[in-house]
Amino acid sequence: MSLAIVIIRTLIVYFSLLAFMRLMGKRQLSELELPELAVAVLIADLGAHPLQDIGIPLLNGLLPMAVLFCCEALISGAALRSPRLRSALFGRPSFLVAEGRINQREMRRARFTPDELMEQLRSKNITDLSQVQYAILETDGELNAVLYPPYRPATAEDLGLSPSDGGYPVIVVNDGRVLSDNLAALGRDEAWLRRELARFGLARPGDAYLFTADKKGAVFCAPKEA
Amino acid sequence: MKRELFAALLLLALLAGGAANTRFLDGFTGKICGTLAVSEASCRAGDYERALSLADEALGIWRSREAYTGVFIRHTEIDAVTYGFRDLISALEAEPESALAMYSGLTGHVRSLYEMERVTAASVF
Repeated sequence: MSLAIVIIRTLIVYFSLLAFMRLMGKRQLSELELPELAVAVLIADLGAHPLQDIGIPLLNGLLPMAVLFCCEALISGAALRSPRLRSALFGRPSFLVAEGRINQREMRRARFTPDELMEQLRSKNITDLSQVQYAILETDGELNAVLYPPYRPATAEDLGLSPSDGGYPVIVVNDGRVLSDNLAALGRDEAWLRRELARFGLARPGDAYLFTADKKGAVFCAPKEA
Repeated sequence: MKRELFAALLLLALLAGGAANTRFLDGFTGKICGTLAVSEASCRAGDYERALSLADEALGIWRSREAYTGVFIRHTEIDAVTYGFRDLISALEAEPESALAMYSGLTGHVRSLYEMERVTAASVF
């Protein structure tokens, strides 16, 4: 087996995999629906075969990857436009608990045991089923729970508060490097950054490990350790 | 929409490429087998020199597409055909009478490259 060929093939397959997964979109990285899971499982296996046996043309691995990408792009595009197709391909969310009652028929259909239901609720810090108004098994297998109103976390509105909105805090200094685009997006300049850093006793951006700021000027700074 | 369009066009291009590849293999293997058939006929007629020259010519056709075969055909198949040619030519050079038995095996192997590429119910399933 030629080492150089194995290395080059591995590089080609790796970058092709990256390219196809990137083209398929971020959903491939988490929350896999059924067709996406099928593609993810297949694509990994397809990439491995030509690497294990250099007698197999590399195209035998790359070509099916391209075909799977096409199928995935077409199917997900069509599902976006047709709710009926989406329901046929991805399934429907199941209400395992509705209005506080466990829907046993739906539990059986979803192959979900009471143990699993309780386990999933516990992973969401819910230990008392009587507090759950709805528990929905999403099409990607994730269980979402909606509590009865008295058990829901109080919002600022519930408490009659009106917190200020500073927008989204963005990273301005990342491990000593100034992210100029983020700084410009905040409408600030380097002089402002240096003034803010000076408040934390830092002479220059290179001394900051992490510095974030929002549009209202609220900042967070973590100095770099020596 | 752009992604779907790209995917549909890519899929069509791949299908067209697959069909073109099958067609190319039909012509390519057909040409080699045709030359081998004439070589075999010459061998049968006792014209061993012409049989050898035609076998060499068929090998030349096979080798002229090394880049193509290397990319598209399993390397075990490439080796089998190349060794088949080597054995046939050695036999034609040393003891031409024994070479006759080798033609059908080599021709069958070369033609099978196209047969494997053809889309049939048997090849798909």
